[in-house]
Amino acid sequence: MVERAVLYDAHEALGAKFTDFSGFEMPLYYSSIVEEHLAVRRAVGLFDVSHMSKVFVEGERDQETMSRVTTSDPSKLSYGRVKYTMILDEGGKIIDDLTYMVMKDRYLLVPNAGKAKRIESWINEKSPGKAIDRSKEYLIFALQGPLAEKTLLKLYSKDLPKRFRFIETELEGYETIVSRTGYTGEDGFEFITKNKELFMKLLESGKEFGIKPCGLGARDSLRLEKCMCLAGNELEGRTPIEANLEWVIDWDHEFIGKNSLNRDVKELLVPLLLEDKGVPRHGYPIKNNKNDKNIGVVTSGGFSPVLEKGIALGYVEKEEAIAGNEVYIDARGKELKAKIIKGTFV
Amino acid sequence: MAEIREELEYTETHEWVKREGKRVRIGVTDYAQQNLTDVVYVDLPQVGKEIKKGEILASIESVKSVSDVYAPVSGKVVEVNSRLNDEPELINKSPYDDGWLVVIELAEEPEGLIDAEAYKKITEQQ
Repeated sequence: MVERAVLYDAHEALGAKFTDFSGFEMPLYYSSIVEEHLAVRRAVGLFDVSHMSKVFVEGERDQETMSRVTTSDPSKLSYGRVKYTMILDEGGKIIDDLTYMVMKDRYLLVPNAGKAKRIESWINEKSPGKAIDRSKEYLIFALQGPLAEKTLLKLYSKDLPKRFRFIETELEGYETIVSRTGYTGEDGFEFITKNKELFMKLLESGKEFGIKPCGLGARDSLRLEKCMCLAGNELEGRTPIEANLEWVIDWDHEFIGKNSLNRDVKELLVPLLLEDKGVPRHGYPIKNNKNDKNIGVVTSGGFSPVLEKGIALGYVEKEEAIAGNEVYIDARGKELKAKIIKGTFV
Repeated sequence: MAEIREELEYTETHEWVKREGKRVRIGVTDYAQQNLTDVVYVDLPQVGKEIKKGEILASIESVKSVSDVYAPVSGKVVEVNSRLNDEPELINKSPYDDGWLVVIELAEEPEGLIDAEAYKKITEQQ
């Protein structure tokens, strides 16, 4: 079953082409993925990401629960904080990555699309707290880009949250969570609300700044340029250490999977910048350029609209995972030269 | 809505064919470019290449995916649109005019092409 976007008609009227993502029919793009991507890097863009899951963790033992099921220690976090973390299985392998908000008497988790039921039952089974999936009750809009703040200030003139913080406030007549977070590597805000009209209001408000409605196509290329992982591609079944995300682990507390985590891994996730013309894709083999041996595989590939080059994330053998290392990506039999880089693409 | 031109012939794999005497000009349809999303590279055949109907004629890399274009007719490639090397986005902006791919000199009378009305039905079913 594919679930249609609540705002399907509004998106269609804006010219959206749709795609099925994790069982949700969401906008892929409106005008052009490249134009939408560049709008977010240079000005501002607006995404409907209501397909993302929303799960509350409540009850007297909610903090103990969050500590047990995520790699983070919530006892170190105060009201208003947003935390990026992971839920691991007993083997230390990633079930999902998510952000959560520290609310006054509960936590609001935003796991990936289609993961709500899995996360809800995992938490209820493994912890003393109570998880409730309320994904269908809320919409999420993401306003992203260097001019996101200016766009929002036209609708809301009170204090805005700082990076990785949120406020609960009345916006356009609705109780809304305004969180200064995103998945683009730019400044921006995510709105968790029941207000369907907010999407069009924000578009209207951003008009003078050149705002564009943006689809999942640009969302994917934006996160890839900043080397942000997509759970289904880079994370599921891997450990945070393999994914080069050890910084999400707080070693000072006990959590599910902790005792299985091992720094002695066989493969590591690396960013790859193409030197040849071409676009790497998910599943393309990565080869040593001297002996032609397979050393890994591309997990996410695409075209960087900013660099106008092919870029990828992929797992390679640990010994090969060195910045500057030159490799080949086998694109349907065509060898594309690529280099492992340090840091992000842009 | 995708534009479909009355005067052209089509294939079920979303190529268009325009007759120019003993030659045909070939491209991909507006429907195809909308589904491809932004085109970033185009791999065109060499001029002079002999090609058979159904063989891979060109590859189009878009932001989203890579797609092969199949030869809708058999013959010899006599012209390629070299503008696409620097302006691959012409396929998105002008799929029926500036974004054409190749011109083929026919080896035989084309078979199996469909008219605009039949092609429209295909796009509506997908």
